[in-house]
Amino acid sequence: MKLKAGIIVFLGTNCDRDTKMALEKCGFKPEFVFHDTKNLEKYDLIVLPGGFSFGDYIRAGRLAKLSPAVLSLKNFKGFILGICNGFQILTECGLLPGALIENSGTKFICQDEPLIFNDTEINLPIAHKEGCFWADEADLKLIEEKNMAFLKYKNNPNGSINDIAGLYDREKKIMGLMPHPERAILKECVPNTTTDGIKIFDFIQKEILK
Amino acid sequence: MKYKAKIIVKLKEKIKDSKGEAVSAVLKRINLEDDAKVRLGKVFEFEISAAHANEADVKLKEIIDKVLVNPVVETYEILEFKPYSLKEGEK
Repeated sequence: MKLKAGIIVFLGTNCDRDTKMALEKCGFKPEFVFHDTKNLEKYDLIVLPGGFSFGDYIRAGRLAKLSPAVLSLKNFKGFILGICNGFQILTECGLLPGALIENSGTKFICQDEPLIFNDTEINLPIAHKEGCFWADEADLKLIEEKNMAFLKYKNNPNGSINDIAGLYDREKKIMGLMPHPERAILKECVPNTTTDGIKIFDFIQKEILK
Repeated sequence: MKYKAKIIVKLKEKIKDSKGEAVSAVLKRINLEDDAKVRLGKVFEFEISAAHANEADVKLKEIIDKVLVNPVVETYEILEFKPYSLKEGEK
């Protein structure tokens, strides 16, 4: 049976349809869930997709963290994935440690980026302006001790501390990453990019089925 | 009773403020200041309804903690917080 995935749609989300396509290609059964929904129990996976949310006013992810769907994630029993704006929301609401601040070069960066994922090199597109990961010493110690940084930049394009591009929570049930795996699924879509995004979704599927 | 609040939120000192650095670089380029160490912040002005001062304090703290500030990277300063009358000009 296929795993059920709920994609939370905020006001301003724009990667929801790419994410749905990616999840379908990778064997999930995804559907859209508007952010005012509290009832998420029927899903095995909840995805907070990329784009924007509520204009990202105050700071990226700040207002979205107060949406009913995000507030109910605290008691959600399944797996949670936050991509780009979704990662920002997960740090803003405290489900993942640290925070994402403006890229060290102040520029919006949109390019394919080499990354280290489980000791192998993969390439995924990044597209963000507030993607510089920051955490205080205590959180960084915890992140490194518990091996929570599952994804690191090879060339660190945005100034992220310890090259961190993606992060687990302590229990390895919540995952956030700045790169966009859902944009690296179809070879025919972007001929020069990879299909390494599949590796991320396959990995999540295996984690859920463990 | 109505209260008026003015809060400034900025990145903690130890965190690199890229926007501030960009402004500093321009100040240097136009020969106004060599090392201005600009830090940018956000100002929030809003009103709070409360029966008494204690209730207003509690509400203000909640608004700051839940919505305006992420304590991981930001810090804040209360620039103004005082009751005001609805009659124009009256404080």
